[in-house]
Amino acid sequence: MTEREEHDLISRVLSGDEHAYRGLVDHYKRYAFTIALKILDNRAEAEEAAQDAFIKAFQHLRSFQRQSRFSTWLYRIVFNTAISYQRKRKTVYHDIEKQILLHPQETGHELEREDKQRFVNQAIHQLNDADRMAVQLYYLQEFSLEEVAGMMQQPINTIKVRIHRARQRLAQELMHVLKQEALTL
Amino acid sequence: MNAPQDERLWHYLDGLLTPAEKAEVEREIQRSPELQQRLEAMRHVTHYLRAGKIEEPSRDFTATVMGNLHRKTASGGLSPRNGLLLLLGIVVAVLSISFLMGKGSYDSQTLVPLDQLNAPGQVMPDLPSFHVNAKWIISALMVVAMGLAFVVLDQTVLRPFFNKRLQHH
Repeated sequence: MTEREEHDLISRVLSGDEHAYRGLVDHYKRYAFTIALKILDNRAEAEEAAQDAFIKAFQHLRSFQRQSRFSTWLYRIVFNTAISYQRKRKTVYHDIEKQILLHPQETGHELEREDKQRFVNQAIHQLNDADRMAVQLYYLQEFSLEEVAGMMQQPINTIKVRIHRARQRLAQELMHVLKQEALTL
Repeated sequence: MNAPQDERLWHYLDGLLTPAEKAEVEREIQRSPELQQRLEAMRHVTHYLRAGKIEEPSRDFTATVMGNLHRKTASGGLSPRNGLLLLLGIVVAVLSISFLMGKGSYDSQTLVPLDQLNAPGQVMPDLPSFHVNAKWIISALMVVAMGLAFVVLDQTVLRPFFNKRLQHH
């Protein structure tokens, strides 16, 4: 969808044609859902948060300044909605599997590619929330550093530091595993 | 890990180095097995992060949104648990102060003698002295606290409860 088509849809919605909003929802729902899922790590909650974000965006569409991209504005709403869902969780639970990083000497098996993949997946959940979100959003194909900064409402330099720190930490964890693997060979 | 060297390796993987810098990093990697291991870990992390796929929401996602465009969305207020804790705190504070007031703890008046302020070397204007009745201040604070308690009760207990009932019907 071009920016012009997007602005046409927005104008139609603002002039009372609510059905035109369907086009915007259909176009952005996958990214909105993915962002919410990265933050909440739970499909049902992420779906609810992303839907809430679209409803909020519809209700506040008049406040959208067309100087920026609609997607950036929408994703910021998705991000904030998902964060507020995360804060509202009644009980904070952590999957025990995510808390314990199984090292190769504990499993007794050589780390294959899939194991490494699983290990990084576990390690990423050990990062602090802001670093994890920054690095995951940055690597989601579409987003530039500026867009991630806009979504998270933080300066670009802070996002750069978060991304660097996060991937450095992941690499350190993986290095540790690789060294253990070399020792057991 | 060596931070500046690691930063260069990340830049190498991100394709941000000039051809000369890239060639230099590649020479260093060739010479050092430790750098090779480090680069392998970094490459794997990058690969994993890039492999994150765009997820597909449920089929009725759009229909649900379109059917609820005028629904009131959840506000970003307090969680029910935090709201109840805050409410409990306010109620305890109000009850404690009421008890102390009943005991006459705030009955005395305090004199604020601004006219006796003495700042050496400075000419002070004539200031009046006046009495402060602690009971009035405490009473005003209690009214504010009770107002706050009603707002918290409304936001965290009453509204969510009635909204849920409306959604069920």
